[in-house]
Amino acid sequence: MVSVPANIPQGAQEGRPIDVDQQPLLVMRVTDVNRHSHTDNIVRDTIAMFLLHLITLNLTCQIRQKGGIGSTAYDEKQQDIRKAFFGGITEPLPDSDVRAHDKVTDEENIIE
Amino acid sequence: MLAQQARALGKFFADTRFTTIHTSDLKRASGTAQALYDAQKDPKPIFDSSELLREQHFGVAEGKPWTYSSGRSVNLEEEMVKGVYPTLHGSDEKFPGGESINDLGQRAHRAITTLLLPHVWQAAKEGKSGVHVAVVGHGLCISQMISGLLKMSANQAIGIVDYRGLLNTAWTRLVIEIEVRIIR
Repeated sequence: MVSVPANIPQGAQEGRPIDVDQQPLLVMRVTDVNRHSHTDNIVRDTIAMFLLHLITLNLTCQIRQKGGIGSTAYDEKQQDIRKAFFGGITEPLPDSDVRAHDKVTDEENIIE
Repeated sequence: MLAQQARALGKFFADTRFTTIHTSDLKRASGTAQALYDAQKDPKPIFDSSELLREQHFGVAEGKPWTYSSGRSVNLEEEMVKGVYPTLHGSDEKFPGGESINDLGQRAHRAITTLLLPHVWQAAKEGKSGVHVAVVGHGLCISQMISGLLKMSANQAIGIVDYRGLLNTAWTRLVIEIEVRIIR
């Protein structure tokens, strides 16, 4: 028994076949977008390795360059790590550049 | 790093039963799809590879360095003669041998009608719900597919936002429901 008024949509029910020849309407809902929590541990591991690298590098610099800069702020690898984590993007891109950025990041890290 | 991300993705979805995994036939996507497939429990999903899910093709500009520019005052062909491949503007602009964003949208529509909707109709005929289908593709193509699906929706009140800028192995979920109109 259908207990809804005429012309009121009713969703499909489990175990109840629908005649698709009548071209039923489809309702689309996006429930999640760009979710990447599964990579959180990978990022943490990479950060830990990166920090270890910085500490090691800093120690090396302090030994070799007394009074020198030895600062991580000048480490060019820092730029690489930003690129790895955030696609190198720190500010919103103009509309057309978003597409190019999508393509570029998509081409990165290709499995060989 | 992508291989690690792909394995992590597979592990994340290990308890989600996919009936089918559709993937682009390009290596970077199919590798991710394979990791997703490997982590699935038996019975394994159907694994389908399709060129319909490839990324937007940039023709002669493929593999060339990009020049980012938000506004262009020069001709695209003049730029290419100089070996410069700037970002494309508008929905119809494309490089020789490549696809425009509109071309990509049409291909995404074909992917929807030939790869995805048959799952919906099949589930409807069998009275099934909660059927999960995975599509592994590329950022630009995925964003066009999402837009294309939302345009088909009977509920146009859904706000369509920008689905570009997707991260590697990041996932987006779209739920398709069938609406049955009862007329008495």
